[in-house]
Amino acid sequence: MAIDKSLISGSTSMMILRLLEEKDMYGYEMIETLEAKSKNVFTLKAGTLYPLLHSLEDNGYLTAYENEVNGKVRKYYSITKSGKKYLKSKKDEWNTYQTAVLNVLCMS
Amino acid sequence: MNIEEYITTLTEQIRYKKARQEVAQEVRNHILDQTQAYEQGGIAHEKAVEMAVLEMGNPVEAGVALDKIHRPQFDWRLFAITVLFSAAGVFIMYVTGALGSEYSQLARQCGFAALGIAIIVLICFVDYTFIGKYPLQLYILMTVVFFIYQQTGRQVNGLRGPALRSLVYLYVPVYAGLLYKYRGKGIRKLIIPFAFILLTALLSQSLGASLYIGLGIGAICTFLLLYAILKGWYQIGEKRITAPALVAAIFASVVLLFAIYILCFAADYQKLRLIAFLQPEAYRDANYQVSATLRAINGAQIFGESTEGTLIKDFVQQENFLIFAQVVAMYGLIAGAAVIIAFGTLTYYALHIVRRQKNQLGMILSAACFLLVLFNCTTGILMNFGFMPMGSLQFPFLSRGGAGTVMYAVVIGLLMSCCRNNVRHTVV
Repeated sequence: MAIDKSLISGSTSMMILRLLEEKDMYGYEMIETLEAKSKNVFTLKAGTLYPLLHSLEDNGYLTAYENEVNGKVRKYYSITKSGKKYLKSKKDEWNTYQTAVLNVLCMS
Repeated sequence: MNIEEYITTLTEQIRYKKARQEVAQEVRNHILDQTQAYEQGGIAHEKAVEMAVLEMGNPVEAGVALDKIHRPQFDWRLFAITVLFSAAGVFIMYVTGALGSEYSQLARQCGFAALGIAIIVLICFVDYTFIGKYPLQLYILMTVVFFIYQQTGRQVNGLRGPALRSLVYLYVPVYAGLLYKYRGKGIRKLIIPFAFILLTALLSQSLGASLYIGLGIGAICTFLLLYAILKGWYQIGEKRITAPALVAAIFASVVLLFAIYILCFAADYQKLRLIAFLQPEAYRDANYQVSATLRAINGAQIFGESTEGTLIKDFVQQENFLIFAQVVAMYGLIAGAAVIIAFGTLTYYALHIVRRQKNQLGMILSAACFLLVLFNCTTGILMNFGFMPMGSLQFPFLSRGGAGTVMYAVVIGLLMSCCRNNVRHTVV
């Protein structure tokens, strides 16, 4: 099902941080995992992902390190303490929003 | 559009050229991974590449978005506190009598503070990677310049050299460059950095005409080497010896060598100062300066002048670090706490820069600057409270004269340069 872009953009950083809470990943791996977990609903473009990752790193929510795997130098991202805090606040925000929308949709 | 065309178009949007290499490598790997995935799905190579590039999205949009993030950053907060603390420092030096009572001295110190700020801005815009590229040349150049100055410069108390003694601390960032240049795998690679610690300590002691400066610089360089080891530079942890054990061994051996050095080469008055520190009751006369300082601090009130009076102004002019005790004696413990908070703030900012460094040279260089500030502030305060034997030392922003001001300006400038040029891939 195609989803309106504006709905996705606000929550992308939250989803990326959530993925990294599980384990450190590189960009391509994140896109693959996100696709698999969302059953192909979220097909994130690399052109959107990298600016987002770099900005999260710049804000101190992520750190990055390089690791050589099969001759390729991969850049892995790892969530920081303040990233976890930020994720929690984003989740709370999302839950409030979600509940409010559901309340309106379900009103009789 | 092929892979290279895509990458070129994307990276061309990023105006900060140093950030391009890192982005290009990451994007290239992504396209190659995607191509491989398509090929595994049975698509021919040419077509797989084409599809992978298309999958990436618009290169200009992505490049413009990355350009907004990758900008050289001027650390305004650190700069603002530097300007503020420099002004406060001159004011404190004036009111405590550290500058003497003449207005000309005040004007001179204001000039040095302004020079310091100019140096910070200048160094901030210089690319620090030259320290990792030519550390040995810099080391030799510094040594030659200091040596010539020592032979020809102005004499202070019968000694040549003390006028520039604070500048000798600049061996520390250069040592960071040496560590970076000669890093490698294995214990044998530690011989060069270890030898440079001893050489630097000896040179600093001789050129700075102070045993304390030699030992202090040796200690800071040792901490820096230990930091590099713990960061895995020499990759020794996985083998027979663990990194913490090696750190302990190096630290112990450096302490031992310094102890032997003091016993064999320190002047008699220096040994006496040490013994007097260890046995304060037996050497009350030798400890006159220390006991006067402690008396003033012990009588300190929360606000206002110490019940034991203030220090003699000559003390503060001679041994600049005693300005802390003078602040406490004249204005109370709260004023002393404010000075400590100011040093703490500077040290915290320096640590913040170290922790955010993306490349190894930036990390070791900023760590060198951080350690220098931390070491001098901590030991200086400890000396004032009588927990360490007194030696020659200057606090940041409270250094009378040009050498100390210039040295700290270079250190803060280097920290700001590390912050400004914080990219993962440095070309050294």
